[in-house]
Amino acid sequence: MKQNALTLITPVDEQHIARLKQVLIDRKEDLKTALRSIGTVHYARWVIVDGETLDNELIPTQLVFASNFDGDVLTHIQDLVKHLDTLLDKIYENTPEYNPNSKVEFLIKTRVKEAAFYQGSPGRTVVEIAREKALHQELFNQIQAGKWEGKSAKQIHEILQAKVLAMPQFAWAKQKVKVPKVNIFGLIICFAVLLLLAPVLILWAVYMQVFHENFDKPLNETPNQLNDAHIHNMQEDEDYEFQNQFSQIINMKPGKARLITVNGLYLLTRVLIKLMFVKGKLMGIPTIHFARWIQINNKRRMLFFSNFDGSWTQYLGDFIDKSGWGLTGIFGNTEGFPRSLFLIFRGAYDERHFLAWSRKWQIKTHFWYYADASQSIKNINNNTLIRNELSQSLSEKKAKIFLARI
Amino acid sequence: MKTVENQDIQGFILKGYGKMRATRYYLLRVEDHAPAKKWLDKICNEISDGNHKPETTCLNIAFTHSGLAALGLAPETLRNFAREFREGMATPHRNRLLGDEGSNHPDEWRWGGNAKGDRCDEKNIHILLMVFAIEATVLSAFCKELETGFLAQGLSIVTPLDGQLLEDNKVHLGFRDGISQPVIEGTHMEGPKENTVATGEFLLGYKNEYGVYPDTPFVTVKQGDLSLLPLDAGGSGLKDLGNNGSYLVFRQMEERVDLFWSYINEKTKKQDGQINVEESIKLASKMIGRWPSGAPMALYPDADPGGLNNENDFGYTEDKSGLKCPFGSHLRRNNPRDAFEDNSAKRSIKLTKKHRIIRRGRSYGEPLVSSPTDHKPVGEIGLHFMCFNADIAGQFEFIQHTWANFPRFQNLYNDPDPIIGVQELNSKDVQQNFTVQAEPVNKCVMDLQRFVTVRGGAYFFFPSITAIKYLSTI
Repeated sequence: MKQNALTLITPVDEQHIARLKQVLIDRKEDLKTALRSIGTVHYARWVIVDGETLDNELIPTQLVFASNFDGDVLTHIQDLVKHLDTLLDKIYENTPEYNPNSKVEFLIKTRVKEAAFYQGSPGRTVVEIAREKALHQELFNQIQAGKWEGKSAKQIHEILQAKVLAMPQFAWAKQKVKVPKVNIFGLIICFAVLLLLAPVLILWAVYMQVFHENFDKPLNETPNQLNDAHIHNMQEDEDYEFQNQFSQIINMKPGKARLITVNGLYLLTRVLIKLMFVKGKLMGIPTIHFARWIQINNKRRMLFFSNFDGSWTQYLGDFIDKSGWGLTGIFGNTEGFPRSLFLIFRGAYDERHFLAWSRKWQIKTHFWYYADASQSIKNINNNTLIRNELSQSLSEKKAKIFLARI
Repeated sequence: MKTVENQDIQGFILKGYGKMRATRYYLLRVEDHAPAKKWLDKICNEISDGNHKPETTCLNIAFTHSGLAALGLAPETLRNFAREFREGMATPHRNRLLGDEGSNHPDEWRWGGNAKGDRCDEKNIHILLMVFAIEATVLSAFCKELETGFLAQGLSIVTPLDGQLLEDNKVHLGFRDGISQPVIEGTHMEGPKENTVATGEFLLGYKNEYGVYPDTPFVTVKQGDLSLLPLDAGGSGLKDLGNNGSYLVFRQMEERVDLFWSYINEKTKKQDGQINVEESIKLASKMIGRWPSGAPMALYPDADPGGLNNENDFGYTEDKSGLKCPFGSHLRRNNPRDAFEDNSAKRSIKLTKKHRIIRRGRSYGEPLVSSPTDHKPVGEIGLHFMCFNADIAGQFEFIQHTWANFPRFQNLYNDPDPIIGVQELNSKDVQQNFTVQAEPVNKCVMDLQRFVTVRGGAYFFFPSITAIKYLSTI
């Protein structure tokens, strides 16, 4: 089943901001229970984005809802309405356009499409992730309890296969599931197109450098110089689990050229997410469950949300170490980003200023829900491979790999 | 590459002072800053620098953030120190990050916490005076002399922490320690390229592995004799109090050797219930990643070659499946060397170099090199763990959280660092295991217990000799 993303954005009544924040605190547990009862939600969050004046236009404070779920958008919205019901009233009565009698229509109306959406375990549903976890645990228990001396890996695999697949609760595991593969053919075409466009792209990068980047003002602060209260505000929500969330809002650098650049890069990101980043790594980063980019307020601001394994320091460090160029390409079009060279060089590699930039534009996630924080994205994908290998006939070599996974 | 100015650096960062077997770490409080600064001015000339080779005794010194404030350093300059140092080790967020929960929680600490409201609270710990001597009697005499000096000059003792290097440089758990240390670029230290790390990972005022200067405390208000301090190497035009200095992490860790060996013995006992000494040592060594002799598991997977072993020129590329040295072992996860995740060897080394520390551990309590058959200590025993780094968040805290505590490190599921990452959990649903990768099936040792408990801790600024001099003039 397809994993999906939903983003809902709606203005908030200025006089009700405090009340809204309080609802998200007071009803936190109820909201989590309701979201869990839907059974298809991987992650969800509500974020209150402060208003500001941009290009002489007043942008009001906005409430953003973002979820990652299985299935189609309409069913998900209907599920939200059904399961959250009066809780939605409590939240959205603080927004001027809300109509409690037509919740579904209201939510659909507030929907904003994502510019790019990444999934660390494409196609894996909440239900399947949970049952593949149980399967892994069962196999682990069997292995630890069994006597295996003198048996080959192939024999052990066969014993486990017979025993576990005979259990009614694991009957589903007889069915192999399709695991996405890197689309080599698609990639060849993609790179051929890029190669064909190379002269234009290079000229564009030079143009952007000379007429834009050189005049833009990068943030000159280091992490240590950032506002203490802001950092505390972020950290007080972090590291309760070995999974964390990240929400960021950044103003785009002004001008059409920046918009063209970022749109081009979003397109490339979407293509690469589909063709290449299908095996649990986003540009080499092996810890991201979901990530999304959203253009809001007439594309003058960019929202970035992600759910990941590990700490903030690890996550942002990974960004620099593993995909600095990709980050620079996209985020280099936003205000304050460390100065890049020809769109993709330098930028994020300026570690101190990049880390400061990331934190400075990070915003509080007022409510965060996860279906299961006890598994890393590597665990989830490993469990799927175990599931698929369990029902197959394996060679000794492959059986060894299978057993090493558990 | 900038050559390191040994004469301006306190020696402990470059040397472990192996000849100095006995130590006393004084935690001091500044009662009166004017005489305390006079004492600082005097003691500054007695601090061992990076060139000094001590024969009988030596001294190093470090300061907490509240200590620098107590000496009278201007708030504007105090604000320029690294956030982690300013906030201290015992904050709620840091407790979660470092795993300082349950019996590790700062509320339970002997010193460095902030709940007890007594002299050992974080805010009363100002100065760490590290005294080293060739043996205990020399230490004792030297300390007596020192105490007469500082007690008369505006300082009081919060607590003295006595320690020593055990026989063969082993820790109480029974294993040789401190073998692997990074070689600091630009120093006299020599070693393989893979183990040579940019100066700025350990010393402020030099470039780090990212090729940039680490955050350093600039002096942003006129105070004291500023002519003593150099300009910031990064070119801001400001005077740099951090140059040639570092941050020192200090954690007092009780080693519960009785619990450790009883657990290991139980897991490896013979069918008749007798202790299987050989298997017991082997499992414990798999957890550590080295044998008691220090011999690395990656090179000697089956048996301890014996003697004393300092071998450190090895990697894990030959052991990609963890069959020799388990992925979850203390050694492998705290420095994955050339086999970090699924990166190439070259890339792994490049990445891991950004998360290295210089370790300086010393044991405390009645000496005991424990073993499967000898593990009853007299009183509390443990390790005064210290390490140096330029970026506490990216080095010490990263290692403790992401490599030691994170149970899903590499491709593991429920495996925290068996020595320093185990939590006391309330939920029976959460497992804490140690997996020994093996063929045909992995062997898993379940229900790990906390064998090491944090009993105190703080972050210190470890200034250059020049900076100590400057502090005496503020």
